[in-house]
Amino acid sequence: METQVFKIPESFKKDFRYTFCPGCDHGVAIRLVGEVMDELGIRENTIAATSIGCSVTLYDFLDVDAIEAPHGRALAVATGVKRANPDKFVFTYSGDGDFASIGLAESLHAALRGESLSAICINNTTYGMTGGQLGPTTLLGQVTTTSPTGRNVEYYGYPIKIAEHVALCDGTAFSARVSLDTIVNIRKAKQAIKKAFEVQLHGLGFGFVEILSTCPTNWHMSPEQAHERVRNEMMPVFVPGIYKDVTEKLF
Amino acid sequence: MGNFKKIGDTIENVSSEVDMSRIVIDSEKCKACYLCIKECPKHLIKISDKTNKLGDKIVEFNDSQNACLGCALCATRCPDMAITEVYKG
Amino acid sequence: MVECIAGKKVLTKGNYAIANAAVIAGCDCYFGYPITPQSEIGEFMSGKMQELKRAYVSAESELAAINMTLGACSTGKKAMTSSSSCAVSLMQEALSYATSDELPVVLISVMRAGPGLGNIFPSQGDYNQSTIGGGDGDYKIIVLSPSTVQEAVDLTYKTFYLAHKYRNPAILLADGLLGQMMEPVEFGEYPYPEIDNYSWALSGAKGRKSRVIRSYCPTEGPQCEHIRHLFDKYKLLEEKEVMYEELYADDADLLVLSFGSLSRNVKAAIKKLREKGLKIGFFRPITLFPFPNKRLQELAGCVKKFLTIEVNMGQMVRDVRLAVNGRVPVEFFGKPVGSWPSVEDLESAIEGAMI
Repeated sequence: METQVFKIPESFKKDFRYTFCPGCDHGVAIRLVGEVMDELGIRENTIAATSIGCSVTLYDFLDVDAIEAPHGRALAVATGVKRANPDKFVFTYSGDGDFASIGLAESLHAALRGESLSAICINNTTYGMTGGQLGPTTLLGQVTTTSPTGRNVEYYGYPIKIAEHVALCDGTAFSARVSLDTIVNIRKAKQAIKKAFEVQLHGLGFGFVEILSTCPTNWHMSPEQAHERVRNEMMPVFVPGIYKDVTEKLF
Repeated sequence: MGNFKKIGDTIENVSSEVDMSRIVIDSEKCKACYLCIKECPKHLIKISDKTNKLGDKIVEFNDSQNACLGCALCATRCPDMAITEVYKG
Repeated sequence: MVECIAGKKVLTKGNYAIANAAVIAGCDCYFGYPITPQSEIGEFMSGKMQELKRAYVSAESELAAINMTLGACSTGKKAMTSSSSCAVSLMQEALSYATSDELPVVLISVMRAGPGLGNIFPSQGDYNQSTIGGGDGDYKIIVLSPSTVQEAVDLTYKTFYLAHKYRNPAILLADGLLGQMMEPVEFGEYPYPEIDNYSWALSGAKGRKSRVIRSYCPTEGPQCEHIRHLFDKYKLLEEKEVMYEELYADDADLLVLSFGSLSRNVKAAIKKLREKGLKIGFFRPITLFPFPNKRLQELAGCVKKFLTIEVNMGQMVRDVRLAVNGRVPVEFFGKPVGSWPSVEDLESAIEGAMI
């Protein structure tokens, strides 16, 4: 007998079709979220807070109740949802601009308060939806539409290492950075998302995953070249790994 | 699990053999990024001559030798979930 | 802080009274950030909400506070935040979102002096901020304006009720004077029916289709339709929910208009002038949106002149002029910020306008 080893997660809407550009890793990240929701059986008890940017379209694909937060306020909106409904599973899905630039205060304060929330942040080193401008994670030397000769420290300062910052917050239960550049790393990413969700389900605190991701359109690269860039340029600066995991001490 | 062509005309299923490992591609979800091609250890996915409604030259699965391992690496990689099902024989 | 005994009057400060009324109204969640002259609201709530096992968050900013309120409201809960002037400026974006999302956000806005940081003296400079707003797009916010601490309590109840009934943000627009002054009040019980939110609130997609509360609308047709739907609601508000106070208006030659706690001095001055035999009427909009356009149009047919008095450089006067549409002259008397004009000063200003 044949066995089905891959299917579209049950947590997806039946008629969904991704609207991301070809080769964009958002699609993989959202699929992993859906797979984890299936495995944990939490879809029907979930409220998502989406953010502004390409990530906002999450609610077109996942079959969950969702509210669209104003730009940068996903973690504040999620805090409101969760405090009003402590029995619900609440997560956010944002880009790096939303989570770590305009929304840095909301994001880190949610972690500092130890909000029982799970947050996914897509780091693709640029503002994708608006056409590839310099963002908080743009690498030194990286050319964007607002750093035409490359990011230099004199004008733009340094990129932020999000997972490390979140890990420094005492309310954080889990903080990891993962990548989607290879199959092995995709599997690791799924494990990290699951952990970030589980710490909420166990009431341990704030769960966070930063996902290194591609933007082939604005990087002006093929999808394959984009993954090479993740490996060769992003991962040496944004080093994948688990930066905090309180469950290590518990189990 | 036999003829998958019944499900819908957008879904292609090249292999109709029972108990053989195989994949199902939804050509309307495929955006022609071709990331799956390199993942297949048996080189069973190729760029097709066909285009979908958006005009993208989609990929096709060709496994006349029943070589598919059902490893699902292609589906794991596909950013558009255009590889909607994978079966291991 | 406030001993709430049904049927008994207690002496309490405006800010505490508003906070206590919110608790009685069934406010499930409070999110706030301190700013004078309304900080007592957050202080009261920090203790009371924890005591009642309701939600309370000391937010990192007003941006966070209003967006937390937005999140809590999306699940159908009664949630509020409170702030003042320059900090309410930070909330304009979320208020715009909340109108489009049709969320019953309640904001207690206690006016201080602006623009910018200004100072902590009372002012009426945020009439425009509340009724017109600084958010993007076509929208309206329900705005209620109390003149006494007792009315602040009653209108706090009404603010919650209207916000939930119409699924639209609502502001209780108080001022620093009202927030800081003590008066006897009776709280009673929340007098309005609870609004069923079962059909729209987020609760997890169990046994039903998933719901999305969103303002993003990428196509023209549905966006136009949505905005028209919002304006149908605003029209309904104008038909059904207008509140105002009127005195001696029927035989008046001059109709004097003011809002908020300043109206108490204005009314006292008019009473004195009436004793002198001057035919002066008094009119106080209680709902600043919906504005009592219809009644003012009627009065414009029998009154010779309108005079609007405000502690700002003339904000409500614009709405009055729009309402009467040139049928009668509308004059303005005011001062930018600070202590309310005395009854004597108002008497001479009003008498001056009679000429």
